[in-house]
Amino acid sequence: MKNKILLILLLVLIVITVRNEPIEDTIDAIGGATNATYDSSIDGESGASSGYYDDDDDEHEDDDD
Amino acid sequence: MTIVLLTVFIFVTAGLLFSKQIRKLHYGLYVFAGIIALVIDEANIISLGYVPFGIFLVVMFTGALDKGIIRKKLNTVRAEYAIIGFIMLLPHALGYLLYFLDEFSLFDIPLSFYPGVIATLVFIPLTITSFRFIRKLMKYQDWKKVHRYAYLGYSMIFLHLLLIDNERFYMYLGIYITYVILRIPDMIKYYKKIKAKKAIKVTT
Repeated sequence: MKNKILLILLLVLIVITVRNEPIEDTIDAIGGATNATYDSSIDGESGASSGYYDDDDDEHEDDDD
Repeated sequence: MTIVLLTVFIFVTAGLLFSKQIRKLHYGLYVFAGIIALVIDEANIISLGYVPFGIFLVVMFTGALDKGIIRKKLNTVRAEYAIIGFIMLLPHALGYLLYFLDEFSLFDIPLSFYPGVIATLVFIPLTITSFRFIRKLMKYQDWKKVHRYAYLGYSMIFLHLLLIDNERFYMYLGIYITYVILRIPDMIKYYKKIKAKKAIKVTT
């Protein structure tokens, strides 16, 4: 019974994941790139923080001037 | 979630097919996981926590499976998986710890940070006592008592994930609720056992 419940959970998760997460994002993430699906933000939805591993390179923002 | 599910698939398959080899080569696997953890210096699927979360899901749900060949096979590598999971959790935990301490004051840190820290702290003694040579030094009852804190650790992981409040919120919630439902019969059994023991003590 428990195994069956787990199997159902797994199937539901697979369906939701396949529908919501582009496979390209997963391949990119495995390759080491962050993207909308696998970002490094702590609270991407609410925008509370920009998160760890900021790729913006803010230190060099003024270099363009 | 794709990466988490892929990790679960890889570790379950490896556990079912190569449990003997994993047990035999466990120190090599720890070193390998340690090397991967050490060389990480930028955001990737390990330092973002997806891979360690997938490994912990296997460790968690192994205890919730029906008795049978799958549970038996996965149980034989559960300790090894827990240790590998913790080793891979370290870049995530330390990376974010340093980031938050560096960038935020103590009261500005997002709430999700605290259960993450608690989970990591809870898993330190659990990981140490998962090494078979240390486990052998302990009485089984003592070891079991220590490892009951794993439930606190798992709960803190999920609280950490839920407080992040991203688009995967309902998936994390679904996984945790399923886990709790699956463990309820064992919890009832455990408390009945304790009650029976107490009753015997009172009568004697």
